[in-house]
Amino acid sequence: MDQDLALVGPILLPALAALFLIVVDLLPGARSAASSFFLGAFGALVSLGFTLKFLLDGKTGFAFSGTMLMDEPALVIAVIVHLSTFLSILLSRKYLADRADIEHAEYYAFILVSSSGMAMLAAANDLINIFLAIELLSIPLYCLAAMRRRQAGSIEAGFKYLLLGAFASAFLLFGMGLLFGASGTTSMAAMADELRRHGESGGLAALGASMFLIGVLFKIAAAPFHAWTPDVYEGAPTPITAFMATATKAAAFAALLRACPAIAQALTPEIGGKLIGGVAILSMVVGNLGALRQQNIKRLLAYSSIAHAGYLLVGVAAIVSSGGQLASGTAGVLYYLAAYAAMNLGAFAIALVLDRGDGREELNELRGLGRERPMLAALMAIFALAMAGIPPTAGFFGKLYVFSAAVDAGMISLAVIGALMSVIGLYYYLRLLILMYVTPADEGETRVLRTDGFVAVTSLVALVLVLWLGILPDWMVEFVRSAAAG
Amino acid sequence: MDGTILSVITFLPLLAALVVSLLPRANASVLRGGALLFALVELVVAFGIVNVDPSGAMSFVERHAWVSAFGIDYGLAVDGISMPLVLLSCLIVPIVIATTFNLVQPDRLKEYLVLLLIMQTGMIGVFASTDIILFYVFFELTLVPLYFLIGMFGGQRRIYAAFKFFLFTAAGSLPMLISILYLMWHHKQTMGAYSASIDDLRAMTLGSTEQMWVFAGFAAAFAIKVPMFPVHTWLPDAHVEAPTGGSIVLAAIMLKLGTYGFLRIAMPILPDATREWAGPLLTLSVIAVIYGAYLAWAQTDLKKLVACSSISHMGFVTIGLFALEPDAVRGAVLQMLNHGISTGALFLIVGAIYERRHKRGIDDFGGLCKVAPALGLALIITSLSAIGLPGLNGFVGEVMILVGAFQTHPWVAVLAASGVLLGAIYMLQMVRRVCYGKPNSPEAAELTDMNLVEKLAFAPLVVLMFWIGLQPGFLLDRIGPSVDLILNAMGNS
Repeated sequence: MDQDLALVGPILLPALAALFLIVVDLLPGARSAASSFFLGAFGALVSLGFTLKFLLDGKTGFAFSGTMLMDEPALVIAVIVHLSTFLSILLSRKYLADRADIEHAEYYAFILVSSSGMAMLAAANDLINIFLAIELLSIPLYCLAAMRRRQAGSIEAGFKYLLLGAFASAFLLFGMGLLFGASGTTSMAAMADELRRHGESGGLAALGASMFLIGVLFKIAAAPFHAWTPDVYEGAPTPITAFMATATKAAAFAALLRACPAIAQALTPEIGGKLIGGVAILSMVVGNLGALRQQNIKRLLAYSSIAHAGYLLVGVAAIVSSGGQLASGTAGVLYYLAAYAAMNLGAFAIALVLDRGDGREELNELRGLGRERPMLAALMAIFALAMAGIPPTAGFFGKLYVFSAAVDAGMISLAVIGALMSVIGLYYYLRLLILMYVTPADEGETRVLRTDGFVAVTSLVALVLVLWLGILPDWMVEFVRSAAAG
Repeated sequence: MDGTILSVITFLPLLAALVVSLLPRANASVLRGGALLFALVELVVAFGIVNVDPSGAMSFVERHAWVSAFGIDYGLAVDGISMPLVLLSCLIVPIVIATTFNLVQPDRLKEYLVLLLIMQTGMIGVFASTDIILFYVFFELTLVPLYFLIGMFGGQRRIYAAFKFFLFTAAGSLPMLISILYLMWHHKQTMGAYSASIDDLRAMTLGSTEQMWVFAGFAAAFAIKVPMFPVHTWLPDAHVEAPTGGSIVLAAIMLKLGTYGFLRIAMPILPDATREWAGPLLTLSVIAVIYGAYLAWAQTDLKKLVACSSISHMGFVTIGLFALEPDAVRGAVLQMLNHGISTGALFLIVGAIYERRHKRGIDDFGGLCKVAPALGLALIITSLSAIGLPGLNGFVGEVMILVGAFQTHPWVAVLAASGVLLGAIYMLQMVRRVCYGKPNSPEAAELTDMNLVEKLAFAPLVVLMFWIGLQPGFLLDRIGPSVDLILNAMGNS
């Protein structure tokens, strides 16, 4: 039992930090914005360090009778989750200080609880735990999205996310029930074998796997289950949007990776691969085309995140079509998730700095930035180019990795479509650069930068990661490769 | 291992870009001087690679593992084909820096220089890469700076032109990425491990159907870059809207990335597909030669005329490449350099004229030789070089291409030769209308002549035109063996 507890440290630590934070908040005299912030950041940082140490020490294994599996991919994802959590918290201080309508202690506690659920999802190896983890990460997110309770947009975001999220959960749960009926087990480790042993199940397993997929695909904002994304991303507080876009996506992909063998067995590798490949294509199309017309920077990033979900699903489709096991696919998805988290957090940090606080967050606020604030503009340009997949940035090797996994699985047409969709993606990322460097700023408007040291640290960490993963990708590639093979 | 000279040559401009970006913005001469100093040092250092292996093999080899899981190396080397192209890149950039006087946005000189220097790193990297992913990385690295050069410093329709340029070239390079991935994956299937080294990929055998598809991916990228008919439409827009320096670099070096890619990557790795595709590509090249010449003939804008003539001249280069005959391919490589020198010089002159008058119509001038004799003489020499007058550089390349092509594809050579004729017609007509007769307006009569800096910048190009025209042996001795190595390897597989 002690060993079990030690193994799930990456899950327990943020939850403990959240409890501690709430208790401190209740103590008379200790309640302050600063203490909440520092406790939250400290909790996330400790979780991150702890998980990183686990990963470097190779401390892996089953816990709680095999219902949890802290393997290397899970640890990699937990690291991405905790890093995103930490950086999102750093982004929050200035954001909350400028707005009086958000409760500080609850805000940070919710983030930590949610990140605990995400780490749990990464390690969950049983249907029950997967469902618990998804609820644990989602419910705080519903609240966080609606945290700006005097803003209609924020309430709308929270409510929309809640309703559609509940809907997706129902699908997920129903799918799990069917999978259990077809296989007689809730264990993800045994699911594929049991399904194979039971043989023909009259479509029960296929239906179950499809509904399970819908539930998870909703969380990663893949089309056609993406409808909530632009509104929720726009309405939620910006640091929360960054948190949702990076950490939630990583965690949900962990669940997807875990379920790949069962999905391949239930749907057959061929159909499963085509199905997920189809969702990948649709996400790339919807995301990239949708982003073309956006005027709001957060909506643009929302559509871009749909498109990136598509690129990531290319890797998943490759895994499923190879029968549920494909080391290069798993490694590609892990690499892409890390790269995506870095560049997206960076882009949101810059969006946060430019926010005028009038809730519009228009792309036009980028106009003339290249001249007024060359450093800020250069950062944004690098993040945008990284998302467009231009070398030598992390985004390029991410795309290289998932597309090569698709080629590896013989899905060359999927890789070609992915490449073509990246061209459309270029168009709107370039629009950001045009706005910053070519279009002149409005006369007479003074720009107020909403930034503090913590925001600067976040964007610098993101920058270092984006360039490091892009220029010297070897260590990370080796890392995810051994994790995927492990 | 021959030291690190190629790394130095490749990344010195990037360092220069960093230094220039830290210099104070207010003082234009410090900015220009600093950048020029770096570019000249770069040129001097670059002369260190002149002595490539006379057997045609790769020299100054550098190789370090980069992403070992995918067999990707950081590999640089040059041979007789890439060495002159690297040197040309190092020569053009200081010329551009020295002659940049009147930017559309004078207060953004710093950005202009930084972009130019970053682009130089990309171009040299493409020519020097021996690893296909590194090649791709540098290939893409050239896009972003040129996009900004056009978008920030271009003319009226600059944003349209910049977008069109970027989307065309990016649309080409992504199919290339898929082809690269396929090659690497195929290497893993047949040899057991990923490899991105161009030599390794050359050594493996591919089925002919596979080759056709992979070749199509590469051809998409390279044909757009050259540009070949019918994907040439971005070029006139980009050239007309780009600032003078952008046009010069685009014409002199960027277009060669396409033909160089065909020669270095597509042809040796995919010999069967190259032979299969040679017919259609030759046809497209002939169309480009004649159609480009007709387009140029019809232009009333000097810059557009030069841009369209570029399409025609690059058609010659691709004819030389796909004739797959040793003389023609050598001629094509030489013609890549010649076109870089001549068209670069033409854009330099057109830019100089435009900066004085802010007009580029052929009919806005007249009597240039009387009004500004040096400028007129420069235009005449360069035009003659571009149309291939014997004794100047263009002649050697064109003759080699035509003679070589005649042996394998006589009709192609005959039709292409008619393109030479058309070239002479439109170029000489332009020269007659601009240089001779009477000035068409009072402003045209008061045009100032080239200043000292412009003369100094122009001089090396004229010297090269005569030197290559009279002594082509120096370059051909180096180009020849390297071309033979590629063609022999193609014949054997």
